[in-house]
Amino acid sequence: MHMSGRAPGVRAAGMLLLAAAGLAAWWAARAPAPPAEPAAPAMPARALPLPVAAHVLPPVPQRQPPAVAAAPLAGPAYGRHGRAVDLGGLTVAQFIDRHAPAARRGDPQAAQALYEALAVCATRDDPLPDVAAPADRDALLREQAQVRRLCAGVSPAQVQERLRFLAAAADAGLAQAQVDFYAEGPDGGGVSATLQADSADDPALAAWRAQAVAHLQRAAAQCEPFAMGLLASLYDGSRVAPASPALAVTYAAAEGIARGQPRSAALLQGAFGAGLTPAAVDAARRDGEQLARQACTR
Amino acid sequence: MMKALALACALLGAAAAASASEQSNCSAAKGAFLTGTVVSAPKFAAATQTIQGVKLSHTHLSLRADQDGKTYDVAMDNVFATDYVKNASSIPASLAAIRVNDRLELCGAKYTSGTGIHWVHTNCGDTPTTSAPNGWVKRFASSGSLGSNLERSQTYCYLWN
Repeated sequence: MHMSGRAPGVRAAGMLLLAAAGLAAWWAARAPAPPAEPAAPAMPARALPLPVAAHVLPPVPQRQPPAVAAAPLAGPAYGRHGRAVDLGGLTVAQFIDRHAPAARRGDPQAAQALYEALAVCATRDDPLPDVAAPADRDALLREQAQVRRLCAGVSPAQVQERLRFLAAAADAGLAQAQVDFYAEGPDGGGVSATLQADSADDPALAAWRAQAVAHLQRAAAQCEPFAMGLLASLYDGSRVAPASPALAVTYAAAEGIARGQPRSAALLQGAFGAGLTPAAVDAARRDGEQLARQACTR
Repeated sequence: MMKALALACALLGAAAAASASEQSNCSAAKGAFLTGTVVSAPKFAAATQTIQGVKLSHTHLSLRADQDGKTYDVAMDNVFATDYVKNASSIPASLAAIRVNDRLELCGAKYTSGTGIHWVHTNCGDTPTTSAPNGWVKRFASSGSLGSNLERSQTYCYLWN
């Protein structure tokens, strides 16, 4: 147990923690020694990520980053939505000039294109994370410098306006925009922090959550498997949607069918169906099959 | 006093049973089981591999294990975090929330060289093996209760199908 931070003077709690520590020590002492290094593994049916070589590198002391101006291009530019964006050789400012008129006239495809370009610029001032290796920091700095070059002349107001174009495209029914609406989070800062935020009493946040789930459901109804997978995760336990193992199973089953890789009841039960009876898992799986049939057979 | 002691004993019994159950579950998942204290905060590690346009970045931290007192490098795949955002150059908030002195429970595959553990995530429903266990990262709350697997998301399992 974690011993720090206990309130002083609470004798019962203190006794409990001390006793817990004693038990932990006893348990650790009697626990079997950790297994020796695993034998050469058989190749799994499919390879999940395993860049072990990268894992085993010891942390290296930080050093000064290189001058980014001299660095080569870092590769494709990614938007807040997480996809590589093809600007066709244009800067974002040039891209805006080309697509803004149609987007402002209400063309949803143009709105989505404009959103995607501006979503690149949304990342230009993101704080860099603490990194495990200096080379990673160098690479992130190069990427950031590339994004800043692409976004030269684009104002923060224009960057923020992307959310309006995105909403227009999502409301018009573009499945990609409906997924991106979720990825952006309520304020365009990315959904990750929002998923951890405990602010159930924030009406604006509640409204965004409801709209994000509704957009993902509409995208799922258009046979967008990524939306189905996201919904399965959200219903599996998140602060975006109320936990519902049955709905998690339903959307996971639908996703499997949409991807041409149906999931067995046993797999669904293990991944999402804890607490559900096998009959309930089967019923939810059938719902997912029906959802996929309706969405994907057109 | 006696009531408190009785309560402590009862809770300890429950905790011991829970820990044994967790270890047993990890064995069934073909994983190596570790509990311990975080001694260095999470750090981002850029992807060395990209699949279908998704960069497989990691989050690393160090954990001193209860079992042997060694300090393990823990490599967590960001794509299996429940709040991962595709290709984000940042640590998912759920993993970034792990702090030094936090207590974690891990089930995964130990490095074949060095002192570390990886594959502390779902194996997407595959039959587990010692090199590809059905792993997890769980965080103890300050109350001592054990949280859910932070590395359980199946949203990106399609990348390996």
